[in-house]
Amino acid sequence: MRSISPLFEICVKGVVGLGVIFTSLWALEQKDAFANEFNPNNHREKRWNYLYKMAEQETPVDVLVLGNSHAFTGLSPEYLSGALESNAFVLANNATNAMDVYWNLRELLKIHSPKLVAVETYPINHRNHRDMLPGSLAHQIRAFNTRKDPAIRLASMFSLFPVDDVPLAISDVVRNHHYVWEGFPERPRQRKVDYNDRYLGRFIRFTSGLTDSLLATYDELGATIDGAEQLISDECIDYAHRIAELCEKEGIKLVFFTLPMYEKHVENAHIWTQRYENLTQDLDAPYLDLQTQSDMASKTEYFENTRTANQHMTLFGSIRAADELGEFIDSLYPGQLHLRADEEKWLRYHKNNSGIYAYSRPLPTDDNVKFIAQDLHAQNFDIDQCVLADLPANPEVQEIWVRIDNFQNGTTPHNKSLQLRIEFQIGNEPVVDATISVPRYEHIQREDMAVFRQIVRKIDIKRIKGVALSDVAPQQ
Amino acid sequence: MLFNSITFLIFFALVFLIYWGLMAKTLRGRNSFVLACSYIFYGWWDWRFLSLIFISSLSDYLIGQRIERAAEGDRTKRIYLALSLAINLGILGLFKYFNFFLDSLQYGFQGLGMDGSNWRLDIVLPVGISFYTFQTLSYTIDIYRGQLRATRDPIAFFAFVAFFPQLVAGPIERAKDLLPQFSLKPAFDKAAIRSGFTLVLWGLFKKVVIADRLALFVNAAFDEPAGLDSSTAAVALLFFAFQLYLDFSAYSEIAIGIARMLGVRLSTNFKRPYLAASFGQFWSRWHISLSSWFRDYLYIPLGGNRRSKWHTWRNVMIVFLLSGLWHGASWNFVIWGLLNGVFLVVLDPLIIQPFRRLGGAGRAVQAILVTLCWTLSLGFFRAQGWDGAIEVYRALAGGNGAFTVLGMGEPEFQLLLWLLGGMMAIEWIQENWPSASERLQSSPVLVRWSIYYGLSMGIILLGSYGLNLADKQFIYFQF
Repeated sequence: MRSISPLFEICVKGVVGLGVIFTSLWALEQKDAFANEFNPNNHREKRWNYLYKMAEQETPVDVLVLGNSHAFTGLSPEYLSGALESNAFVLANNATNAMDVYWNLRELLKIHSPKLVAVETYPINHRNHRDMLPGSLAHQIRAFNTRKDPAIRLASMFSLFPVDDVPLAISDVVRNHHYVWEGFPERPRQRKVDYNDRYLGRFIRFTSGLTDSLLATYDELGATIDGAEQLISDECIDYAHRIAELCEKEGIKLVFFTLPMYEKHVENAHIWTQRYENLTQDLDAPYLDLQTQSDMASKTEYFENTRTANQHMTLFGSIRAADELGEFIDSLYPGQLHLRADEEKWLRYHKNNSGIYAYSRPLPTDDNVKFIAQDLHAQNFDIDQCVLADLPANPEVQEIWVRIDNFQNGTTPHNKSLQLRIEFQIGNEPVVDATISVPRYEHIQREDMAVFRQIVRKIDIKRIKGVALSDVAPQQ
Repeated sequence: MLFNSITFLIFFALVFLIYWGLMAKTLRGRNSFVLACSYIFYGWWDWRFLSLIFISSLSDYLIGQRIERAAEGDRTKRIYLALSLAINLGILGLFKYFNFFLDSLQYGFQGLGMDGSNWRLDIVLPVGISFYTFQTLSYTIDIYRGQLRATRDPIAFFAFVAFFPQLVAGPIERAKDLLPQFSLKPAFDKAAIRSGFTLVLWGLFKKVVIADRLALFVNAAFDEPAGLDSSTAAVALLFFAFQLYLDFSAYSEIAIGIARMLGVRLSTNFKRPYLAASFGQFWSRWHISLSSWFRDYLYIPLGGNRRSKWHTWRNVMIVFLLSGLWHGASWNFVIWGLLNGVFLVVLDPLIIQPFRRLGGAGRAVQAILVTLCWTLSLGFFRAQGWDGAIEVYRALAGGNGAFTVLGMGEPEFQLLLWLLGGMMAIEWIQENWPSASERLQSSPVLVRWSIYYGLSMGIILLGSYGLNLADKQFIYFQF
């Protein structure tokens, strides 16, 4: 009998030893012993969970928005869905860059077939992936860990991380081993996500805009960012090309857009966005610059109250950005993305989505919506739709949404409020008339239509008796 | 490439397999492979500085032969030695001390009202330069002294200078110990591989689980020393003393273990220094390869203790001054070195040694006093600049605020205390039962595997590593 070589014996022992350790880690992993931190807003995990669930439930993603935290705070997928009458989803992670965006897209394409991909440009920046700051890398690793497709994870792993970080990226136990010091026995479990609700990738972080005191500091200290210094690394350019090639191969329309920061936050913004303009021209992809080509950057209510470099947008800013992007896409591909306006399943999925009230028609059978008027002619404009919708968060009140269009004789909705004369009833009291003033919903700025919105007490509106646009300041 | 990195683990696994599987069959093949691996290991950090190792190796290889050829008493022999010293110390001086001396000069000129700004050179300190410079110097000096024959095998010599396990932080090997090992075909010794592997695991545990966890407290304290109360400052200093020891001894053990797995013996660098009963003993247990280098190549040539007491003291102070400077180009290290010289010259005979009369208890007091004095001196070693050190000592002497756990939570702090207690218990066992380690190596397979498993899982589950803890270098890399 041939004797076993001592080196071979050591190799076998090494493999067995590693096997025992890996098995132990695997067992701990299976027990969720070091599962991800409890975080009600664990949006990284939630996004992929929902994307996979949507695929399973045959709820397709039609419009995919890719980016980093600017995208998931600064663009409302609910309003974009309404504006394009399709399913828009924001697949974005904190501190991500172009390389990660590319791999996210690769994985998504395994489960969805979007018709259009919109890439927000912040991830296309001066950094190479390997130059990431530790904090950014931490975000990246957590985001990587939430992806599910083993083949794409493996393919992307060694591009995304140095070898030393790979165990952190692939193992909850290795990454979170310090939880043992943070109340291990009481460590809360990962929140179980209710897949029956709707989630389109947005993470609301900021609901109020810049304060007067912060605005004063801009006057005193000047801009935080110099657009001239915001370069684009070769690696990011390379991955922007890869994204474009992938989209072309899959027959997906591709657009790029830049979400704004406050106008005084960035000097030489035009130099910065010109770089994206040049890049997207090379890629033969349309580009929407919301930093310098719209009035958004001047609206203080649209921006996070901070002078730090990474200024995000608020909820209102994200609605306006969705409006702008939706209009831009419509102008490029008129009507082509409006795939699901008449689809009952889609309308059910978007129940309680105010983006639908603003742009589309909710399901007539929805128990939380009451149609007050539809296709009503008024003097110099038409009422396309007027609905009264419940506010799930506050049962005491309702929202009235009015959409008007078809302006005639030089009529314009700018700086106007809508005076609605209505017939209504509260409880069993007699039906009475009243005029309510409904202010313009300024975050939707279209030329061909205007949206008005007002919160009102819970009343039963019987019908609209009259309507007029008025210069009178809206009364709350 | 750090020992405590996945990259190194993969690197070493490949090296080990190729080394024993293919390269160890011929001497030249083995040495060429070791040299190539060593250059890859070093070049991983910055390939440009490989040129310095190459220059150092080439010059000493050639000079060594010239020195040997020169007749005894011939002036050229001395010139060749001076040339070797000039090249090696010149490179070290340029990269490590040039800016320090310029800064000091500039400070002096400013005192005289002259402008000496913009004199600094924009240079990076190459990792491990102090270590391999001293190692290669020992070669030419030993040949000059007639204690060693010059090698005619360039590959073996280059491999000796760059041998990757000990290239960047020692032990600083003598040519007469290490070089001959590159002239012998290595024998595949399972017991040596096993004990080497155990040392590597143990070193990693000490580094990742204890030293790096101590660093959390120490870094938090030394980053903002002004706000510390005296008890927190005292604990920070004490923790740093343990961190320094565990970090450096861990590196040495990993280096020795890796070398042993490749069939190469390296010298012991630490022998339980915190159990030393005098400063003299301490320095024969702490960073032994450096202490003995200074002893053999500086202290003894200066006259050692062969002349008067004053001469001995002068020689000690010169050695400690240069030892301080070896550690770092700053006045903090100079003061730290001189302080330790004073401890040896003054405290040892006057305060420490008298406790010897008290027997076992006295010995314990001696060890505690030595460790405390050493710990006190480390304020200069660890603090950022003179001001930082003064802040630490001021905090130590001043405020009476409550003790604060820094950089970690209470449970983690308690674990740290347990780990330190465990460490010292192991040190004590090793001190009193020197055969304990060997007995462990020959214990039943289940016991050994349980230890390997415990250490490995301990490193993974209790290690202080992860995101946002990027800087995990060994402390002595900076020297």
